[in-house]
Amino acid sequence: MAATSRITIPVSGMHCAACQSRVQGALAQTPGVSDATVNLMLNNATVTYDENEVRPDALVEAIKRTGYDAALPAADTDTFQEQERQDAERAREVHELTRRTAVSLSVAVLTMVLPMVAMHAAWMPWLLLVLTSALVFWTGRHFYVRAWRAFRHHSADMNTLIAVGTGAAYLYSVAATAAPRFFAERGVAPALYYEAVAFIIGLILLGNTFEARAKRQTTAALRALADLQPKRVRVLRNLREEDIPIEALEPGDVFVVRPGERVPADGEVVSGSSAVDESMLTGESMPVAKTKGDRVVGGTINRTGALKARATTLGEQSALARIVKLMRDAQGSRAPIQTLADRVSAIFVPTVISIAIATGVAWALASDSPLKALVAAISVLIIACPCAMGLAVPTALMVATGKGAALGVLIKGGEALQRAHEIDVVVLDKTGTITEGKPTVTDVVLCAGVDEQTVLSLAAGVEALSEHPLADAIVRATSERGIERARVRDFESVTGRGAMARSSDGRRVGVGNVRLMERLGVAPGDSVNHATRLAAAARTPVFVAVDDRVVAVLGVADPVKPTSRDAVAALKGMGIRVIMLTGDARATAQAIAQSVGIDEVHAEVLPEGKAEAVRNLKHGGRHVIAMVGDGINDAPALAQADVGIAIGTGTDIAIEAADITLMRADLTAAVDAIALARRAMRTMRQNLFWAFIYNVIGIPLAALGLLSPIIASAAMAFSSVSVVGNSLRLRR
Amino acid sequence: MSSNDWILVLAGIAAIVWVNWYFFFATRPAATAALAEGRQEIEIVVRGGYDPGIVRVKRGVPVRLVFNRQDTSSCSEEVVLTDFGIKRFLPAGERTPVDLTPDKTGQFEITCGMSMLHGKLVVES
Repeated sequence: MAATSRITIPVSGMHCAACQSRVQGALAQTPGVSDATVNLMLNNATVTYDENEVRPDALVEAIKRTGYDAALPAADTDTFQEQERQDAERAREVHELTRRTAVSLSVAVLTMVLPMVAMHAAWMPWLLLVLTSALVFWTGRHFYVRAWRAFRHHSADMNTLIAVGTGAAYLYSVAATAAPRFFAERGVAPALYYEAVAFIIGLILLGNTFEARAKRQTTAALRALADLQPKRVRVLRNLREEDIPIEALEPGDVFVVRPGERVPADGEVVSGSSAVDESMLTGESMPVAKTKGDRVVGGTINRTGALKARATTLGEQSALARIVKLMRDAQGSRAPIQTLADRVSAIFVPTVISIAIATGVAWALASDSPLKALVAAISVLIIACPCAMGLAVPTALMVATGKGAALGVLIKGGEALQRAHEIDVVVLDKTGTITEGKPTVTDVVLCAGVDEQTVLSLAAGVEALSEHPLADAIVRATSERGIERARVRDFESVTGRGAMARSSDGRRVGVGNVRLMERLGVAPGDSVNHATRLAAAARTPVFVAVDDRVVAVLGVADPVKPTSRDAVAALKGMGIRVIMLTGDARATAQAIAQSVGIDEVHAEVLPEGKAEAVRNLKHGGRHVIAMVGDGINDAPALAQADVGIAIGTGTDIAIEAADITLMRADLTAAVDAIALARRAMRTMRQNLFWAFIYNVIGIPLAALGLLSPIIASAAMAFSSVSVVGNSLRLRR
Repeated sequence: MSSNDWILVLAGIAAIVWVNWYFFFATRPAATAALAEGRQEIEIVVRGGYDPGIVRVKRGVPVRLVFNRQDTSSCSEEVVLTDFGIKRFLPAGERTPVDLTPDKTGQFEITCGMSMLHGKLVVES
């Protein structure tokens, strides 16, 4: 099977469109390259190529032959470094917040206790002023600074509310401390609100600390993935093992992995054999046997034996880096459900300030007490919490994508997640999705006096030139039986039907399905009965015709994956309609569908018809269709579906066409993905509901004077913590 | 109601009007990105907001917005241009370039990850 990869190679020395087209042409003519785009502005070439046919260094050579200079992208670890920096920043933030919170709450307790101990001491207001000022000008300083900066930009945020609220209380108290007589003369008590200011600052900082800690946990899965990347690697250079930093590793270097060590980079095993634990990437707990020619993925753990492997993709291109990057992009993406929260956030703070002003005026009129007016207005400012709304969706998204990665499910972003939760129809490709995708020839039914050896030899001769998975089975059948393949010429592949060629003695050999026989004008005769019998036994019948006679029918079986049946049952249990889509003959498809419990089968669909079939299903009603298939052959159908779910493996992540990539080639991962999406959306809705309700109830209560500013600050601090906490429940 | 009460009510209304005008309608300083080597480039300082808050660019010419984050508030750690599918982490104290090529004219929001800070990208033909 083709293993499509994409690489971006920096090219230097290009100055004009002519240079560009020369490089592009040279690349396009390189065998194995399916697409090459050269960007003059960015000075690079983006090449889509088949890993089995051409290696990246050959692409570099091809560019160099045109006279321009090129080098493979350096094995830098940017993705990981950026992740590390972000983590370090978060850690610093948590540390600093913890310190400030401890100081603020201690001071707050003092401001409450001291007046009780020495109630009427004349110096008491001044002591409280000093203590509270320490909080306003040190631990809580950032609230005011940030609020002021935002104000200068005509914007307002949570800091604005805290700054205005505590600022008003603080200034009132300072005035009452400095000039109590001024207040008394006007019939207003020179009340002090230092305690409220101190507690508000302390409690909000406490809330921020919890929030920062919880937010760190939402990215824990991502951090765990980034930590998988070993920092050093042992390479074989000049027949000696050298220990070098991972950045110095170059494609083509041979590196050594001892048992128990992490595989340092993606590579191809050149010697040794071992079992490798890939669970951190695929969620699959069984170690995978690796031997010469197999691919290993950086970050996985080598369990039993020593391996030597040749480095292939490094740095940004490595599987692990791509997964980390995909996850980071996903965690940073936005779910459409957030639009509402965004709209509210945008007008939230000025609206709350307006409500606070109105509250103050109303209380001043109603009670004739400026004090009550001030307290109620401050409560409104303090209880309003735009943060909970802002956190409701992103935190759930982050935890869900992290959880997905642990399950071997990569979700492209918030939009994909949101659509995935609505899936009510799942279309499954057969080969490689329901079945193992490794067909083998199980039956050879001879029809017309030709022996098995000749039939297989001719058939394999033709099929050796074909790329179809069934072709591979026939070719393997000859090599396993030790049969030499016939030489053929004039090969022609007929999409959706089969292939044909001429044998060395000039006979026409056709290998394919019944439609190929029709096309060749060969009467299938008796062979149709054999085909029917094979199909009923879930074998794919392959006709072999020589000239105008069918000489044999081969039965090719592709074993059903052991988990497929359970997965289909689970999907049905979730109320999802399951449909199988395949190019196979109807009878074969039916037999396989039956064995896994699928009732609805669309068989004999040509490859290009798959996307069409998915589109037709959409027209059939208001359904959200998911297509599960491999990311390469089924790419158009995946793109056509509302949610494209690509089945990949750790090494081969064809992410581009898919909304969701399953790292374990197993349908239960698709079930996990949909279940996770449903849970995540439920969490987002809960979060949004609580964040809204909290404000909708809290603000009127505060406006009615039923909440003291201190209670309001506690409620505000914990509303955002509870939202993050609810999101973290998704990890279970 | 006494005349004092009326003054209070009017002052309250005036304050509310001013708050809403200031945050929603007041014009903000705009800047035009400088064109150099086929690219429009401008530095936007992130410090409790985006400065300049409004950036004018030409359609069809690559744009580089260099976000200089001089702010440690986690609110500003990400910049989002929804219309261009861009969301970028901005390390504190660093200049982070964000490249895009506007292919449509109009006004596009620049916001932080939580939609609290606002700026505008005005694409003109």
